[in-house]
Amino acid sequence: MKADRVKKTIKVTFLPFETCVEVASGISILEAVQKTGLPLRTSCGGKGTCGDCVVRILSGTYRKKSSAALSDRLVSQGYALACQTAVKSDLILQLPQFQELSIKSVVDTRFFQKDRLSGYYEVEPPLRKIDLELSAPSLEDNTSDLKRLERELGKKISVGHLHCEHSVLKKLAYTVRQSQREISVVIFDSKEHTTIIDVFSQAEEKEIYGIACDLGTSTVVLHLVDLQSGEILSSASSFNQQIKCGEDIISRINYSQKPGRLQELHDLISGTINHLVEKTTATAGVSSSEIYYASFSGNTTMIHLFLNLEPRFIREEPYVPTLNQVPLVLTRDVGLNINPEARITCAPAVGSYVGGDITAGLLCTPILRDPDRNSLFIDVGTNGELVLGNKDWLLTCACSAGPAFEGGGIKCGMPASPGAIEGIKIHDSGQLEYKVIDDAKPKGICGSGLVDLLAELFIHGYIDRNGKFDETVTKEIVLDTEEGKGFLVEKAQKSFWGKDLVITEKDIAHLIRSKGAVYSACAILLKNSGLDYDKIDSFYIAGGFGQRLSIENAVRIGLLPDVDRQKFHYLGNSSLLGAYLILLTEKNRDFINQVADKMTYLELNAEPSYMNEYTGALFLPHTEMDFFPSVKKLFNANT
Amino acid sequence: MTFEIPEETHAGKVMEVTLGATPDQGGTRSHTVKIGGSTSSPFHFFEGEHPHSPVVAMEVFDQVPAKYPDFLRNYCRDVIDQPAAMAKKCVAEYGAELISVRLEGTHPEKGNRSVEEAAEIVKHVLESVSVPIIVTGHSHFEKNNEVMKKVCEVSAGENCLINYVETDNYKTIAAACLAYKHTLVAQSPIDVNLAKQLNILLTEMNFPAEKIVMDPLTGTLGYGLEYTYSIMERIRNDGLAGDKMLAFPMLINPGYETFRVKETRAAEKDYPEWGDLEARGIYWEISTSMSLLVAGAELLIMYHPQAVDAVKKKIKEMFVPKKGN
Repeated sequence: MKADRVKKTIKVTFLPFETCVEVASGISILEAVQKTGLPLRTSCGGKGTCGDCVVRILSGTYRKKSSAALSDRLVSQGYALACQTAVKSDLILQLPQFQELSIKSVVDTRFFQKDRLSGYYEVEPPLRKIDLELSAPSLEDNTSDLKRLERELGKKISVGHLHCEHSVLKKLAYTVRQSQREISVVIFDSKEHTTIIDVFSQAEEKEIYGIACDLGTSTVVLHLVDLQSGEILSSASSFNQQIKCGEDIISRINYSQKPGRLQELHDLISGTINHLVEKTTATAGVSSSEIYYASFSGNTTMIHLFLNLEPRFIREEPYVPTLNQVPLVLTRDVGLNINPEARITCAPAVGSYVGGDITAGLLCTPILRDPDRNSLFIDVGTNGELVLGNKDWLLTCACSAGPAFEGGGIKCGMPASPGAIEGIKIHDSGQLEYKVIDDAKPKGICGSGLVDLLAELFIHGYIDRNGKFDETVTKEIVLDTEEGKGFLVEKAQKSFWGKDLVITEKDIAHLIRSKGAVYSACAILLKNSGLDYDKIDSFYIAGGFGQRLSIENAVRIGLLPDVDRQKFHYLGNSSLLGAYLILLTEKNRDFINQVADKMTYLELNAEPSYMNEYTGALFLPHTEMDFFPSVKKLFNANT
Repeated sequence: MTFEIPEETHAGKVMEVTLGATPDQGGTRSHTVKIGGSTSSPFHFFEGEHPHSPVVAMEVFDQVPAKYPDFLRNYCRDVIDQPAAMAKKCVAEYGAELISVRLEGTHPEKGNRSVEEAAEIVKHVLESVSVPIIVTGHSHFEKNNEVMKKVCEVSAGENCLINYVETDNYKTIAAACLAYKHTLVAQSPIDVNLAKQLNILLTEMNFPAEKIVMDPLTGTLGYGLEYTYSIMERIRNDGLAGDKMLAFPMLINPGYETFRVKETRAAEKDYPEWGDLEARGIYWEISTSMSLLVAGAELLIMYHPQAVDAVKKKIKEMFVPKKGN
């Protein structure tokens, strides 16, 4: 019957997640996004005024109600407000908040200089390619192909127990014959035995490569590495596609608790990694089937999701994961598009909330080989983790710092990628100066910029020690925004998105909570070790702040203790670097597994004084100004 | 051999705060009330000085709270809707040493009375009694700020105790107190650090320390009293140990807190084992008050006349300065 005409459904695809959703014609893009669960923020509730829900339409037809909050320049480039745009045909669009990150800003090459690798840089991977020329078989010598191979291999290396993968046996006969017996084998050494994992003709000129990858809750970063030389050939990073299932690990664990959801999360992280593999191999001109070894670091939950293991018990008391130390697993078990026989290693966790990202990070510091000096390693992420100690003892704890210093949950916060304001200075004249990554038009502010901004607002008396604007000072400068009072960093006309870049009191409260969580965790760790800050010789700071973090400003806001600035070393993404070091030699893998086993984990939830320390730290720089003598001096001079 | 009580000596001293102002001080009170000044733990006369006894205030209302129990109304039934007259009665008949005027009726969701109305009530109370007064507001920042600004203005010079400010809303009211010479209650939610932070914020805006009274936001018996007790004790100990930002006298609200919980409101017929409702309420308020007095409370805003009487008697009994002090 004609009257029963089926209403047309339309397919909307969101990049970079490649998430599709089928919707009825005429609904707004915002409604379509909400159906997918992708985190697209709006602060005006879909009224078309805040401009937060901007998307870029790459193809398809649509109907626009209003684009008042966007500049003409952006509209002409295909940008539109999701809440004000109705879908009319199949659409492909991009969520600019989650554009690919620039690798340059995520991986600072300075951190990869070999002399900074604290003595753990050594290229001796467990994976080797060995060229063999097999003797010709004859009626007199009718030894089997495999035996013949083993015989030649034994001449080149000392082999104890030799294993051979079935996939190798399957193709051995023809590979030997078609190559005129000039073959290459790829072997993987472990303590117990040597395994042949691939064989091919020398004429194919295949090489062996590896990948090192940091599986972050928000971002995933990957290096493609030449396993013969140890050189990093190319790198890439992107948002973790799991973001659409929850922004933090707890919400992802919750998400995984319905049938099929764990598999979905697993597929999303494998998909993210495969995407980065594609990008890096294309850049370097190698085949992904030549990747035989992969080293991963990540927090305990991310590793569980990557390995498709039940994460539920990580968040239920008494917080017991399936495993901390991950045995070698195979590619086919985790769905990666690299060589099917490739070996996969993961940095060991200490517990549910101190993961492999931290143990890997320790390899970037001399802590593990320093017998006399004490060091404190601080990784400021959504989960803040700390390790205190030296060669002989290590004490560790985790605190919930929130994503603020990675730009999460902050109105104009963003990861450290092009367009992010990475440094801010307010001059005594009141003039504000900032530096943008890649000198682009500013899109938002990344962690290092937020640290600077908070410190500058505080030191100049724009905010009180509780983080609230002092109207007697800022009457002219502070704006009323939909989210309360805000300080203008850059006017709409000069910003990329054509809207004011503002930091609100709410944002400041987030930042203060984050820094308070980290500082109070430091305090508890020190208290439990019986050490004072002056007994700590080095502080290693890691995290997603961006390339540059002003230690001075981090002290001024009370994120880091007020000690000699020479003692601080900023590492950037130490988890990735650690994964790289583990990839390069089995020695590091063994070593870090042993270290992880010996670390003492301190559960802050069970620490009665933590709450007291925490509320004490919810002030600029701290309720006890005497803990921060240099800040006190500066503050008193300014007021 | 005689037993010697070991004595603690303290470096710090609780700030002495004066409430009210007499005509030669710019007000119209017949006398002032001083609290604070202690150099040792509450009632430890053997190891320090306590120049001022804790005092008991009673409360009158611009609008009687819906939960105000019937048995309490009986004591003021004739004047309950006339704050000035009720204030007079509380002082003359029930021995209130100060009067708190609670202006909850100005809250937009609880009557939304006007700023002017509130100011009038305060003026009338000031005229009807000669004791120092406390003006108690509410948590609707925007309205409360307007009300308190006006109250400060119309009572200029009286050195009222303006009750209260909190960390997220202190500047407007503190500035009004400064301008019109009033004393201020700094309220924080049962936490030593948060209490200290607010005091720091106030003194950093040059609010005089001798004009600050702290309210650690205590509940009543059965509602975490042990916890509030230990917080008050820690505040006082830190203050006596020399932390100036915690060395302020403390105010508590046993009346308001006691007569809004189920235990003082559930009828005897429903809970026969709980006994007589009114007696229960009186004991509840007394237990709360006495516990917190020992923790360091020095200004109590109470409701039940019999509880007021009992607590005042007990304070008198316990407040016995050592000879020679």
